Amino acid sequence: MSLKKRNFMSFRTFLVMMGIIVLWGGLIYRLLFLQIQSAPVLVKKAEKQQEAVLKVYPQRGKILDRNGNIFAVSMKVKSAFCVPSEVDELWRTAGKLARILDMPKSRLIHKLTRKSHFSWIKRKLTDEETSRIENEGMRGIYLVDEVKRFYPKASLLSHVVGFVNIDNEGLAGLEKSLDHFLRGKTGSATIIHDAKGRELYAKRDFIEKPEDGLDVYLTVDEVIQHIVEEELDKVYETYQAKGAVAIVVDVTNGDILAMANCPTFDLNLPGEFSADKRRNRALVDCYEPGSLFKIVIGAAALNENLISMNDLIDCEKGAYRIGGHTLHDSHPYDVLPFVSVIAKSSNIGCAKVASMMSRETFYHYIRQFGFGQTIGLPLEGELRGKVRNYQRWSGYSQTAMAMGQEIMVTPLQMVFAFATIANKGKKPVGRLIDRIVGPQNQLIRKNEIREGKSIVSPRTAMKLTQALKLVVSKSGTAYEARVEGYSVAGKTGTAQKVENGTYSHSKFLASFIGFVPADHPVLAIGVMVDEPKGKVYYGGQVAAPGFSVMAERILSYLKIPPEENADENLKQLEKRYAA
Amino acid sequence: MEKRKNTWIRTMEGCIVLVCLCCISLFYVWQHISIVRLGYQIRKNEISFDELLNEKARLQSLVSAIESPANIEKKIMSENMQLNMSNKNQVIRMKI
Repeated sequence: MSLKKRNFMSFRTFLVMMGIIVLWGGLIYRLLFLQIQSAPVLVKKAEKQQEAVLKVYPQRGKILDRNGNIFAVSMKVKSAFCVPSEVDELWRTAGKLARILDMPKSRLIHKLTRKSHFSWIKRKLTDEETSRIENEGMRGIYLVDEVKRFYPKASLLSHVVGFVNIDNEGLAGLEKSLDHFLRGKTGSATIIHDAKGRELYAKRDFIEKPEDGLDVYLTVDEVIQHIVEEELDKVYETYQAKGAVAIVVDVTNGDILAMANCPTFDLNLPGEFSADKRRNRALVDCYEPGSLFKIVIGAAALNENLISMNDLIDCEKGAYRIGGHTLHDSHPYDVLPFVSVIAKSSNIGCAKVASMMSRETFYHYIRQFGFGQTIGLPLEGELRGKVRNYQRWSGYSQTAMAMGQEIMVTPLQMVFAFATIANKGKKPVGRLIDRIVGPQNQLIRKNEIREGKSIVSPRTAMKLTQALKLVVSKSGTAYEARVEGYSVAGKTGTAQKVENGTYSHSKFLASFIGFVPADHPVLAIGVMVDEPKGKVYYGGQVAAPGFSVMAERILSYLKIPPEENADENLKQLEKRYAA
Repeated sequence: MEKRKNTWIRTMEGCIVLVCLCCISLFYVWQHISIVRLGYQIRKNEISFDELLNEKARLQSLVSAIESPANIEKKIMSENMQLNMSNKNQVIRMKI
């Protein structure tokens, strides 16, 4: 090879080598540039593309009755949203969505043309709506999981259970008051996904672990609640009343077994009912109790030994002037033993008994029975009622209160006053929640049964029970409250409502509260009917029959056997006091 | 002879190191892919577990609605079964 040729070859080799070096040099420079100079920016870009913070929503806790029947449960459903910039064929898409979702087309067009990256179309779709949207496969329309609250019993116990808003925040009833137990804790995690958008599970990093909500077991019994609602509805419809309330309490432990209101509403569609229909009248309505309150004066007088069952009281033949007012009885009576004053609900007789005791003593018993304070159920809005301090009473106040006027009580307070007499003078502590359990069924909190405070002696309670049994006898005011085979003790109330500052002669609150079986009480049942229409308005005629049917059905459901000679014993009691 | 032997040994050592490095690299890639695949599987199972839980809640809700006394009474009425509430004479209670 000539020298010239060899030089040329080495020059070519040199060029190639230089070329390779430049190329590699360029590559290395680029690599160094990317790795060092641009690294922070690129790392941020990559993280933005791959990383996301995932919110993990907890399962809201269930609300169940004492036997585990579900009143409220949450489940995942789909919600539809759109990315307006991705939507093509606007009119066609809007038309399709309008047909599927039964929404006006104009509203959908407004949603589809919003100047934002995200717009809800409709939240919490039905299964049918979801599958139809999925089948249509419209561009720019997406589905996302959301949790929806379902109430399988619809209107049963609706005023107690309450409801949530679209974001699952409790708005009423237990859903609101126990929201902190039910809602759980939302968790969050950083996730990394691949080019196809699939999550790389191994790289999931929890910032905060989610915690599911707790399940709440009530003391309410679904079957008893159903019986009470069904029978209350019949009374409400029959008398075309403004409202009606019924409460069932287990007198031995204070458990609320049922709490029914009329009118009622469907928990799955709360927005379609007025606030008036959604009001829990058992707690948030205050009224003058009328003759029901005579048990307080009776219990106080007996407990203070101011009177005995056979003491005679002059009932002034139906009209009695006191403190500038004339009292009247519904029927004129001459002289009655105290037991009959209660049984026949004599206003004059009770006013005279009230005058036997000091203001302080009367006030003390009113407060002891729980009036002027809440029962303490975990429901928002429970009223305390209105009890004026005895220092602010007028000369007529004590007489008025003996007849259940000048005092405001809630139906729940009144039922618990009767439960106190039924429970041998001990006021049961009200329970609505039995227990709270965790997602794995572990017991978180047990609402223990607490011993009630003694208000009157067992002897007083027994004596008053005898008088209340006579209320349901033929000569009493609530013969229609009797339950065949069982002894019943109770009291009627027919309170005049206040209208324009005076007592109305056409608007009444008819009520009956009693307990069964009277000698070994298990249940206290209260029925109150607000403004019954028609000629019949007395508690013994309007509320007592409802009480009777409810008691009969509940006793049968609870398998409480009938008492032997219950009717015979009542007749003997009647004869004894008549003599 | 001795020199050639040493060179051969060094070449062999180099090869073994290279093979080991290759194996380690392959193992690393294999296990990484396995972790990712397992992650996909876990996520898939997690989704189906969630779906099953949701289905359970849906069925519980359905059972609860079907078993409600109001629904049972409505069904009895609609099926015209001629059922009535028993009266006291029809119920016999026995003490055991």
